[in-house]
Amino acid sequence: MIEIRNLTHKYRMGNNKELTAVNNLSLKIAKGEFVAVLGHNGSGKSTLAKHLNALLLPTEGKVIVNGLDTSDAKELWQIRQQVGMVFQNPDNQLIATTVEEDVAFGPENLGILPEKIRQRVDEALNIVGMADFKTRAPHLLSGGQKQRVAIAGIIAMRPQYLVLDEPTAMLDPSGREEVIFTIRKLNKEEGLTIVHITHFMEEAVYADRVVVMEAGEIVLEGKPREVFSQVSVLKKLHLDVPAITELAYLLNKEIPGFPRDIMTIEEMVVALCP
Amino acid sequence: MSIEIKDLYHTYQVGTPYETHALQKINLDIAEGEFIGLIGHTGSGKSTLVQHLNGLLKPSQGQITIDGVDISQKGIKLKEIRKKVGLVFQYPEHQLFEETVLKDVSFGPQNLGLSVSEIDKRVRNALEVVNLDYLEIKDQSPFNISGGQKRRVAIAGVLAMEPKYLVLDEPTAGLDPRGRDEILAQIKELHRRLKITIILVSHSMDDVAKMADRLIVMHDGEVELNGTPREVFQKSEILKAIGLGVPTVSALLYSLKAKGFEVRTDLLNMEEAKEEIIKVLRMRRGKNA
Repeated sequence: MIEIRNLTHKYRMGNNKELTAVNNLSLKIAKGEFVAVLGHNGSGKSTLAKHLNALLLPTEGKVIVNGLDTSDAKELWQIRQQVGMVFQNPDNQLIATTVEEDVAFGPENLGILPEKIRQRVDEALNIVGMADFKTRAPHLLSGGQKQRVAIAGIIAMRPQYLVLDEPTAMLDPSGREEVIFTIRKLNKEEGLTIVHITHFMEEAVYADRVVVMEAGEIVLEGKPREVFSQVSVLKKLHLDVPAITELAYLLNKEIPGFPRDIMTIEEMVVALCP
Repeated sequence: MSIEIKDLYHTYQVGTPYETHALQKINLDIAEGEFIGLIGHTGSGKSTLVQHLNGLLKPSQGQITIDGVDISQKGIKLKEIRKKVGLVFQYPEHQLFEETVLKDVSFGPQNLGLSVSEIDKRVRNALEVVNLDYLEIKDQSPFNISGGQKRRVAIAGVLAMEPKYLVLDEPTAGLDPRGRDEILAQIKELHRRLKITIILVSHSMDDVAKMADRLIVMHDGEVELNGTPREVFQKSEILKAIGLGVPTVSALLYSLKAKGFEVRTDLLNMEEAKEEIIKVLRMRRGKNA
């Protein structure tokens, strides 16, 4: 479990000022959970994410990963091995000249035996569906493929938690689908705990739990259905509502009793054509 | 006046094993004042096409005429063309380079050799259009402002050239919903108020459905569909086959219709869809009564 207790993070700005990016935030992420974190730019999502594997340390409060305190420098390697992170821009994350070398980079640094590394690399590439590309040059792949290689590089380190900071923001629709499919698979089949930071509400629909941030605090939290049915609150926060939920909301205004918590086309069809 | 593209072909790396036909037999007319949505999969040729519109790429074959001037002929003054056709690339903020926002936005008009007062006027206008406060932002470093602001500064740099035609390649990529809505609203405003012809390259069916008068859909280097959003989104089979899909609203209406819920399928937003669904529900109730 990852436990965030009263976390505050302040950035020091140039002119002796401070910026509070995360403000007294508490959150627990259970093993095996799929949590989506929403919020617009500057709401503190990325700052929060970087605390989960000690890339940032709390100004106040604590972050505890499987009982290990991220502020304890001795535990750093342990924590980073358990919590892997994938960032927005795939081009900034790939370093080697072939896909398999790139995926091997993490396990090599963990000092794992070469034959074991081979096994882990193959396994990781299989999971993300990139095994056929293992001898290819990363820079010639599509955005979605690059991002899947970046994910493989993380899972080859066998983490328990995968934190993804807007992994689809720079991808086209098919790349986005590939990555989302991979993330869901990692959660369902490999049992990885997922923390997925995104702007795209359609992607958050698959989560077990949605956390909405604003000004460094959690303003909404719950099952996707509960959170998305709060159309007016989300709009006030300048967030999108899934288009179908918005329609349900509009219909509900005209037809009292029409369900407001519809999230997908299939559900809408069922509601209208019982 | 207009942009005319006639039998345009573009081949990359001609004569090598890597020869790729990025564009083939493209024929298009874009009239002044239009708002065009250019959509297609990654690799469909959209970016190659738009780079031809201001002479960044030369046709392998064919002709591009802008306001009557064939820009592919030898000895053409590209500066004149680039004054007319502004191109905002993907992630344009990567091209910011000056020390201050003011200098960065002034760079283009300065290269046109305009007077100081004219440059100043244009920079003020351009920043106003993208909704940035001139006095507040002019002396800031373009590297020290937020992502959404950077993008707007980059767009202002192109607007300061006062182009007649403005091509924007995925201007909302990577922005959050608020940033996206702001940029799209400003583009709409440019079109409405300044009558600039807009060519918006996008992946998002939902965005182009809301904004464009006409959609051009590209696939494998060719124009696959060309028509109003209503017309184009009726061809859901073709769109799906080339991996694009339809806007959420169209997808819903098709699913409803398949289930015998007799709705029109050529609606473009949820507001229209709501009206239509309620109309159908009322008719059904009428029949049952």
